[in-house]
Amino acid sequence: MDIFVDFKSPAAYLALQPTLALAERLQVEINWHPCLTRQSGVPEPQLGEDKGTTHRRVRAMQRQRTFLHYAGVQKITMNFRDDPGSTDLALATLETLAADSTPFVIAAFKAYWTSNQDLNDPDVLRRLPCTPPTPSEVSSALDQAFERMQAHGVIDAPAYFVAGQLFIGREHLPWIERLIKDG
Amino acid sequence: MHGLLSHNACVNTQLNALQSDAPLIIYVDIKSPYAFVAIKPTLALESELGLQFDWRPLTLDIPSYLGSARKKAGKVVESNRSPEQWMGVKYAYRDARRYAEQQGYILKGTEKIWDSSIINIAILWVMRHAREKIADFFEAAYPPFWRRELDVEDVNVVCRVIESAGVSSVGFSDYQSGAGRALHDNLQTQLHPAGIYGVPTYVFDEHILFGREHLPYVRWHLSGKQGPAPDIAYGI
Repeated sequence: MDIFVDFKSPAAYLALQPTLALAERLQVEINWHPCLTRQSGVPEPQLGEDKGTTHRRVRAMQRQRTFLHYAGVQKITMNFRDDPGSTDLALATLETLAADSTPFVIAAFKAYWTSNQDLNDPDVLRRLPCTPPTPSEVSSALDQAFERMQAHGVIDAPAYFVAGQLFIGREHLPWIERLIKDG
Repeated sequence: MHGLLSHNACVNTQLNALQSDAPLIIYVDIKSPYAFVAIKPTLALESELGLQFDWRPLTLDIPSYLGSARKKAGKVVESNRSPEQWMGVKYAYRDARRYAEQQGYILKGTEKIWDSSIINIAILWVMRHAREKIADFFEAAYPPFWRRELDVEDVNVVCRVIESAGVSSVGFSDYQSGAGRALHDNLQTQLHPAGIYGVPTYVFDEHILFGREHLPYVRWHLSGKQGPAPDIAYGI
C-alpha cells in the first residue's frame, strides 16, 4: 500500500491511526511517501470580501472544526497553529529514509500535532530520531517526491495508491480494504 | 430539531438555514457529483431510521471559488481554471464516478456549469406538496441529469421531472419565478453566515458536516449514540 502524507496536513494526521490499524489487520506493508501540500490557517473575515473569498474562509473554518471533531472521536490531541509552517525538511527526510519509515512517520506526526514542534528544524528531526538530509540534498529529495506525486496524480494528502487506483482521504478505507482483500 | 418534519416547516415563507422541525437538514445541489452519490445512501439512512429529513437546495456558485469552464464535444472550449483546479476537478469526477457506478448509475462530466436554481426550487416544491415523493423526485432528476439527458435550466423540463415523480407541477412555473424563488434566494443568503458552503451538508443538533463520509456519524448520533462514535467512511 503506497500512501502519500504531509505532516502538516490535518487530514493526513487523522488518517494515521485508522491506516495503521488497517495495515495491521490485513498484514500489509505501508510504503510512505512525501506529499507536498499547501496548508493555511483560517483567514479573518475581510470587509467587502467577494463571494469566493467568503467561500474559502467559511470552508477553512468548517474544515478545521470538523477535523477537531474527529480528533475528539479518535481521542487524539490535535493542536492547530495560526501558521502551519513548513515541513519540507521532514518530508525530504522521509524521501531519503532507507529503513522502515513507519516509526519516523508516527513520531513526526506526533511532534507536529501534539507538541507543536518545528519539523523544518534539523535538531528537532534528530531528536525523533532520524538523520535529516543535508541542505544540498533537500532540494533534490523534494523534486523527486514531487515527480512521484505527479506520476501518480496525487493532489492532496492523505493519498492512497492501491491496485492501480488513487484514493484521497481516509473515508475510502472501506474500499481500499476490499481491494487489498481481493488481492 | 426533532421529530418528523411538520407540514408547517414546508410551507413557511422563509426558512432558517440551521433550524427545522426535522431531526436533520440536508443541503444538496443537482450539479454536484458528490451530492449525486450522497442521495441514495442518505435516503437509505432516512428509511432505516424511520425519520424524515429536511431536504433543501444549496445552489452552488462554482465559478466564484473553483473557476469556470465550458466543454463542447468533450473538449474544453473556455476555461479560467488553474492547472491545480483542473486536477482537483478531474479527480473529483473520477472519484464520484466510481461510487456512482457502484450504486448502479452513470456519471458523465457536465459540459458547462449549470444554473441549477429551477430544479433546486423544485425540491422545495416537492417538500411542500408531496413530501412522500421526495425520493421519487431525486430518482427522476439526478440520474438523467448525470447521463446528460436533462436541461435543468428549462422550466418545462423541470415540470416534466416533477410529474414523472408523481407530483403535480401545476403552479410550479409561477412558483419558481415567484414565491419559490424568493424562498430559495433568501435561504442562499443565509448559508455562508451559517457556516454552510458545499453539498451535501448535514445539519443536526450542533453539527454542520460536509460530505457523505459523515453518514456513519449521523447514523450513530440519530440512533442514540450507542457504542463509540465512528470515524468518517464512505459506504460500499
